Amino acid sequence: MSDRETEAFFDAQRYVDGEMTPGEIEAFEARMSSEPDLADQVAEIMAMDTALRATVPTPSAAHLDDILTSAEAAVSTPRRSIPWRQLAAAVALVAFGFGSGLLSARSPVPTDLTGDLLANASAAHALYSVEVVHPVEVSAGERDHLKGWLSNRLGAEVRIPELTGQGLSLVGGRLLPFEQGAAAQFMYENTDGTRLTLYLTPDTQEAKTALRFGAAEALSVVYWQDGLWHYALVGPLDKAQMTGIAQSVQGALF
Amino acid sequence: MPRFRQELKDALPGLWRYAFALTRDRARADDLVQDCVERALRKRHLWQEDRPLRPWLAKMALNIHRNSAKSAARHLHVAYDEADLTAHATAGPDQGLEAREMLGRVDGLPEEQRDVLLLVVLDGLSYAEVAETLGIPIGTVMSRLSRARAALKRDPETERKPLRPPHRPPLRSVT
Repeated sequence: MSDRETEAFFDAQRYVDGEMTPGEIEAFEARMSSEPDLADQVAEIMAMDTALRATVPTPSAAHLDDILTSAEAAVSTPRRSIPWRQLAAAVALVAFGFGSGLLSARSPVPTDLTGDLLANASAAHALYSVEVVHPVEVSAGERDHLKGWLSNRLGAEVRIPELTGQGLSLVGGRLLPFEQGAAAQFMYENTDGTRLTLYLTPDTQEAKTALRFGAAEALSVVYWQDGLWHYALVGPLDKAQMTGIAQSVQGALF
Repeated sequence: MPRFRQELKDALPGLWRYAFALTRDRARADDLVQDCVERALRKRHLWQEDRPLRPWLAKMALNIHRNSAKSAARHLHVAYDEADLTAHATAGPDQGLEAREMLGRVDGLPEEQRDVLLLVVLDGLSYAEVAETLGIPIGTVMSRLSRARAALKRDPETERKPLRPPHRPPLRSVT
């Protein structure tokens, strides 16, 4: 296109897109009546826009009101059930070293705790599962003390699931910061030294969700909420193995 | 803040259409819009009253969609109880052949041109609002828009879709 043509096309666009002042519109319409090419161009743009708009359905006003109302309700409730896609996104982010949990696919709320939960659980696993000397704060030998101490600090009764049926022995546990509160991490180990961690933190509202699975790089996470507790089981095993262990955790906690 | 709510409400039809263009799916468009609205409500203290809300919402929609598309593309996430994570769904069965052709051509545009085109034509933003949404000068908005429209008009021969009879005017409206 020559500069003049480009200029004419810009004008045609501005006319169609409602970007002209009333004075400009008047002048442009006068020009169109004497330049049929310009009028054709306008018609062409309008037809194209109409075709493009026709590809998209138009939601009813009532439907949009529903969305607005739902959003308002969600915002007025401090915490909702887990937006699993956000968790999944958080797994991805942890792998890339961000772990903010803010990026997500669907129904995410930046302040929602689940993205942070996953990021923290994965980060804590990566940090402590490789620790040789101090993998835990309180070792499995002081199981009762560990249970009492963490229940006290987390403000709700903590149970430490027995997973020997899965070939996993308890290494111990530790207290970790989480948002404004705290979380617990229990570490388990199988006979070949592979370590899994179970991360848990209490919510303010009870909920029960199905198991959900996310994977990033070699790390898998199975996560769910049961009652007040959010759980995230983190480990380097595949989905089937992780699922089996998560089900044992659920069984042991029931 | 009743004015905030009114502005939000006024922005929804355009935002939803834009969200649909990004996701190609009604349910995903619903989710994306609700997500944007929730974020806007939570962060409304950051909103400056003299600034239009729509670019802010459009920017959120685009970012959320991009990020989800990225994470879905890079990682395997298997949900036990939910639908797949495909970020860019194909045209639904309720869309006609011409609509799908049109969307196919839009998908063929360079991203920077597509962003501008969808914001102007589907969301109905002004050039100034698009400039704010994408953080580019108004002149760039106009040139990208004109390139997008010129490309759609060209109906490139490289795109040989057997479904379309060659004599059919490519841009006929389906309304």
